[in-house]
Amino acid sequence: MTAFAAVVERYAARESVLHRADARAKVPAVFLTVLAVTSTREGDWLALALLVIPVVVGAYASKLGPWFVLRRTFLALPFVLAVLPLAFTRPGETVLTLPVVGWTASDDGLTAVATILARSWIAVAITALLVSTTTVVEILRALRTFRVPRLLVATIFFAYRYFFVIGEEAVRMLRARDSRSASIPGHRAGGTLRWRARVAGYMVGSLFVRSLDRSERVYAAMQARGYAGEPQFLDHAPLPVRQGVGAALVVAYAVAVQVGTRLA
Amino acid sequence: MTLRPSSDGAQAAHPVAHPAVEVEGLHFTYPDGTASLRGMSLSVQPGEKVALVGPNGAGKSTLLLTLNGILRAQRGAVRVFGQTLDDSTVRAIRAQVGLLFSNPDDQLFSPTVFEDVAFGPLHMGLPRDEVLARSREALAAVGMLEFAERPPHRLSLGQKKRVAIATVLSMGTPILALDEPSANLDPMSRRELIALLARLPLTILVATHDLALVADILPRSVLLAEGSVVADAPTMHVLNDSALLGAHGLEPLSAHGHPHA
Repeated sequence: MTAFAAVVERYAARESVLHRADARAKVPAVFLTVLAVTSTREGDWLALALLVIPVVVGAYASKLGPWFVLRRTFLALPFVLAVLPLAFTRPGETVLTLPVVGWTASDDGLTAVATILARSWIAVAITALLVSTTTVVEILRALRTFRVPRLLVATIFFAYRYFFVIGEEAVRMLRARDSRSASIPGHRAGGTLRWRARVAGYMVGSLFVRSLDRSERVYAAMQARGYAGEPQFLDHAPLPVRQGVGAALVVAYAVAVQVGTRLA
Repeated sequence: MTLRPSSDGAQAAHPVAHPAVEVEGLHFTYPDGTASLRGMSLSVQPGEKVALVGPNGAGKSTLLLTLNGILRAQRGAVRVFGQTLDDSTVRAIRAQVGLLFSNPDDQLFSPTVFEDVAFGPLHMGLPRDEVLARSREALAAVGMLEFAERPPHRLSLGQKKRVAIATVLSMGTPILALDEPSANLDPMSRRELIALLARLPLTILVATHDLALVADILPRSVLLAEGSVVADAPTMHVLNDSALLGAHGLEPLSAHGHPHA
């Protein structure tokens, strides 16, 4: 595995129940649980707290640990910024005013922001558990089992495959540049900002030319081995009943939380 | 051939008493847990031409990548002309150690051959005239001057390889670290490469499977296996020890009678 792959690959090999579980059980369980989580009503803190429980249990069951899963969820942090304005735009009772700019945040606005943050965090954590315990090929295979259109599955497959192609090309190119980025006494190293920017621009250009070349070779090699528009997977063994039941229980719990807190 | 270390380069700045390259107890493990170097130690005197041989995965390429700080060892030290490689010296050490990647496609990133060759000297902040002179000189040394304005990705592999060597020569580093310089070259290009390396008055380390090249121009051979040095001796001793070669996945020259390029 290259340095790039080691940093980017999401699958984290462990020996655990969750790793062994069939993707055909995990994928729908995660999909439906995320749906249930995202339907939590605004300000329903009890439901949110109850929905964190499966994440924590999953983190331990996968042997990844809560910190690992927490770190993986930081990927979603930038998107958090997008919901912040809601605190200032939603009408309601003013709870705080930003100094200098004078924007006012309403209680309803803050509740909405907090709920959206909690919901998305739980959803991302659940998804992180899935991708950390399941290889991409397994996930794609499960998607095909559930009749997700083959074009979509093939697109995801290629996006993933070529992401590594481009990433590895980029790493090589940066290494080549670093390797020749030297300084000698008595001279200011690094050239002008303009020159460096121009070199970086060329590098991005050649990165795409080369990635395209390489992806064509990868594609030709796939065709040479019989690729005809769909990733082929080894035949599935039947899904063990216990795993199906386990997946159903997780979904049932999430649905029960939603229904229960609405009735209470 | 007038290519030489920069006048203000290492040999002037450091006393000759220091080895050109000194590697001490180097340990390197890749992020996925593959241990590549396990306590590698090696010392190369200025002007020496040394072969690094050994099977795939022995740590040859990793060792070369640590010499100019592209990879940083987890334990151990790399010293170049007595200067220990760390964050503060890495840029200066890159002016001492020129690294040739095994795949020239990994090395070339500019729109034209000439700009690629000029990158190193430009980055060092040399005056324009010197950059131009060095780049032309380096391209001439590898016989690629007439291709100066071509885009590198349109060249043949042998031509790319020569350009890649020129990109390192133009920096005027006193040490060259070459990873598989003769791999995939046709016999004629390979001959030219060997002749070029033989006449360069520099300290040269070559990681290679091409034992005929080793026998030709590299008087000292270091045999690596599983991340450490298993033999370090005059080339003829190492190459004549068929038991040693066989034990490490190499074939004695006479066995195939024909250099594998």
